[in-house]
Amino acid sequence: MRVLHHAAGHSLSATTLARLRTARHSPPGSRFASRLGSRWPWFAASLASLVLLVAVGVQPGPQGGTEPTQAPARLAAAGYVDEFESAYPSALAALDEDPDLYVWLASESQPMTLEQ
Amino acid sequence: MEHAATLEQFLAGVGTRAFRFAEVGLRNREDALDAVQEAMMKMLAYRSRPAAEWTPLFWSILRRKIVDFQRRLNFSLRWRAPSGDGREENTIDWAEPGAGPSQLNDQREAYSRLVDALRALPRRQREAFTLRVLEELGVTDTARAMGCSEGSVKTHLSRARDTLRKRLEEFA
Repeated sequence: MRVLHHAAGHSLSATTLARLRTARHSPPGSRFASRLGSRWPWFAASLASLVLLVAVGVQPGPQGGTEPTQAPARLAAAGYVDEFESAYPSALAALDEDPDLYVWLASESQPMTLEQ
Repeated sequence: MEHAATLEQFLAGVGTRAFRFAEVGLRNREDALDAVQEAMMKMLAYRSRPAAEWTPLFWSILRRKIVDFQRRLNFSLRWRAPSGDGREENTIDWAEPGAGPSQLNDQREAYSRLVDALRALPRRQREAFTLRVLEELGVTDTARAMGCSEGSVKTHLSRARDTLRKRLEEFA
């Protein structure tokens, strides 16, 4: 039995002997590459899935994307109203005080009136 | 017993037999190679220890690595499909046959029978038999490598011998 065991130790394949030779000298980092071996397609697929998941998770939503463009527009509109108010203060005050203006704005017949 | 002058020499001498030991326990070439490689890497940290301690220390580390691998394998097998994933199990690594193929075949068949018989043993009995009989370690070193008392080694060894004798007689 002992002879068989020792003889079997001397009858290893060339690839196994090469792996054992490198095992004695390789730093811990290189172990990962050797262990990866034939399993790299699984590793690559897992990595790609992870990247995709991270990309989907990080992608900004529709509100987040439009926010930067809306904000300057709002600021510009506010600036325009301020300018108008300083130029025609009495006109704006008159419009604000006139309840008929709001009735007219809310009227559904107004577009039809304009078309006629 | 003569001791290797350097740890590299010691690992070079024991490497192939360590692989066979791991191959019997793990039944897979890649896992056996990984276990031996991890044991060798860990062994390098004990470079400063006296050469007389290297043998029981190395076998103790390798034995624990094999147990770790077996636990990991059992855990991962629960999540795998019953059809398997292409792992080549129960195979024995052999060099390409050279001269004298018939004699070589006989030797390989005999070793395959021994491996089958060893694999059928409980783990502790297999460890005791391999270290004490095949690796020719003393009882004290075997006990240190196995992390048990010398009495336990003798018990495991006696049971292993009985089982192996019966099993190998069936083949004869």
